[in-house]
Amino acid sequence: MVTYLYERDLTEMKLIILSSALHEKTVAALCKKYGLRRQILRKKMIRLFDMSLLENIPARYEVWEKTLPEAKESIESRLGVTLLTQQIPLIADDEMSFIVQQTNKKISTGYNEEQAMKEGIAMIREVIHS
Amino acid sequence: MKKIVDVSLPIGPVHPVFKEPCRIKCEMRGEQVLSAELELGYVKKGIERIMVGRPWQEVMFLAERVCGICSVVHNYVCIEGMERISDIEVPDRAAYLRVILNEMDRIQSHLLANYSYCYTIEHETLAMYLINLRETTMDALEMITGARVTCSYIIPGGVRFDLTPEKEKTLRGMLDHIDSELTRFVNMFKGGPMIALRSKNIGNFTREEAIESHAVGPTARASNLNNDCRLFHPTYKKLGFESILLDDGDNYARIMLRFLEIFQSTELIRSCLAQMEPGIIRGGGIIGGGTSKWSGEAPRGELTYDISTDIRGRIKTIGIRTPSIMNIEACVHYMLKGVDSSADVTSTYISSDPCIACNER
Repeated sequence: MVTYLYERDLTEMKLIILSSALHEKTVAALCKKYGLRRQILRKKMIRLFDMSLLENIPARYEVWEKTLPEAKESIESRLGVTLLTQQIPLIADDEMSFIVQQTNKKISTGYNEEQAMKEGIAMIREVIHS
Repeated sequence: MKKIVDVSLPIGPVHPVFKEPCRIKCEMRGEQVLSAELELGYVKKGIERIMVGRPWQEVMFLAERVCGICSVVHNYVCIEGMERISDIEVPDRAAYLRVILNEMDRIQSHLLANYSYCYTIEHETLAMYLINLRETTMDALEMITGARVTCSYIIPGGVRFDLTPEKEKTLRGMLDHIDSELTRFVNMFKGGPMIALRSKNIGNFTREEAIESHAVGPTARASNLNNDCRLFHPTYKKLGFESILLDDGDNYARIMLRFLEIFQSTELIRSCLAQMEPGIIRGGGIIGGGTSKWSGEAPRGELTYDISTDIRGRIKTIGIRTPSIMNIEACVHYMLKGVDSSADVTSTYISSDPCIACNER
């Protein structure tokens, strides 16, 4: 995100975009999936995204939802790798691949899969919080 | 976070080629665009918020006021969404009249979009020819509905006015005029060497990018992505509608696709006139309580109304997803990236037919 010295603060306008009915639904779905608080997620989105991307979040989430039935039940799809790196880019590629790597490593060393997934989600939550 | 770049180029909010205010912030390396961002919020209306709590009789008028260019389709999709809540049937003749009006709206919107593009690349002669031809379409809209912009023609269970034989004859004449004039203008567009230089292989947008950003309408169809809502619409199915697709995904393809769709629209209107039989145009109906999510094909692409009403037909919640939301994002984050000249930033932006009024609903 570029900042110019003469620029006004866009936080309020961005919050207005995020408070529309369609955005509320999408943000609620993301919060449920990753166990996040709504205000934390909104704050992160406002910080990272420009206004056009913020407006397009519900449509992008819908695109990801449509691809779900086609995706195999892999670790990547369960963690929502494409969702968080491409559709709604809240996490950088390298951070996400580190999380996937760690989760795969835990599973390969005989760790309980559900527990490993939970920990993977927790790591995602931590990155979004930061 | 600050980034150090060669040049930061802010375009807008007031710019001669922008129909509406917005600001594109480009990060450049010399003349090449590395990335771009969009700043909105200059004309935010808050119409969704205004609609909440109001009865459907008021909301159908408010829906038209989301956009001044494609007001007909906002009326169309909002009413069709409401009709699905209360299972209201539409007489056959009214369904065809709705399609006629929607296609007239598409013609004028596409002509305006292509006018804007030609004006942006400084081909003012062609631009003026196109905006003049748009007047024929606006006259046709006025003849059918009594108004040029906010027509309020479509109502639950039908339409307001019938098309008399005299008006039908005039409409056929207007369609012939549009076809013959547009053929000449399309040849000018195809044959203009400067147009090709400013349009071909500029603002490239691949099919994969179109899928990722959920691009819709001519912007997506010019990149060979077929997500036309008319394919699933009952009246369009009767007309045997098929989408037009192009492969190139550049500025030229997007403009050409709109020209081709205008010819398609005139043919669709002729088919409607041929298939339409005399009958009632108003079946009546009152909106009750329920929810519906309905999409229609606006001139710029998929327009969705997600409506929930109470038992008296008052709006509880409403979400309007306009095509410009997706297309502007696609333009700013995909098409503009890699554009080689700052002069092509505005033309690429205009080629996606952005509508800030729709975006800032």
